[in-house]
Amino acid sequence: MIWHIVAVGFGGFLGAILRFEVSNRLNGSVLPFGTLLVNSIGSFFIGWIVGMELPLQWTLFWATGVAGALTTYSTLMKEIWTYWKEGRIGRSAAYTVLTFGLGVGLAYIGFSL
Amino acid sequence: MRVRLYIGIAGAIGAVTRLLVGQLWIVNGAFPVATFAVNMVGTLLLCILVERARLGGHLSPLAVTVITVGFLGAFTTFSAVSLETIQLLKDGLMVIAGAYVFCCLFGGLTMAAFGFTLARKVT
Repeated sequence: MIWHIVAVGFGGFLGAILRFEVSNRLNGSVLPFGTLLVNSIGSFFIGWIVGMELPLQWTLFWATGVAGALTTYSTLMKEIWTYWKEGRIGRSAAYTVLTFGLGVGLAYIGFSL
Repeated sequence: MRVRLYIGIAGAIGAVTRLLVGQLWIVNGAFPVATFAVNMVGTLLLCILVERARLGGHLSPLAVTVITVGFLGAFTTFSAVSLETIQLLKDGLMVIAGAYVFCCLFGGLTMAAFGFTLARKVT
């Protein structure tokens, strides 16, 4: 159990820093492209890792740790809700469809590789 | 530079907390309850903190960034939602997959709305 915690902890450390860097550079005024990018790449990556059926320790590090922390749900919901509240309904809906479409689609492609 | 270290550490704690919730909370059934619960709680807390900070809360901007981007960002996860959805689809559980995405989306937006409202009430 302790090694599971260590694996996920190290992965979470890397994933969170990577997300911070990408979001800082790419979250623009049109759409939060940084959040969209990390969520899309992370979804592809988790599909790929789980599809490879690695030993549990490595799956925990890469999938639960890195991919889990690289992607985020709380910020995504905050962004969608903020657009909606500001009356930017189209942008809110487009961002939602884009994120979920890319996420599920890329996870499937990654898993199938 | 130090902010990256703090975010990394907070991210590690967030990811481990998510792991523990998933491993300690054994649920029967196909619906991914642990991921759902983690994402709902994380969204609620993030929106309360962000709105409190905007209204001039007591936490320093650094603390808010470390908690929201680091801990809550890594605690909640989108990749698991994507993965669990395709796994449900692969198992032929179309209705549960659809219900899962629906609950995640509308549950999350409800939590966000509730969080923003709550942050303004507690003054």
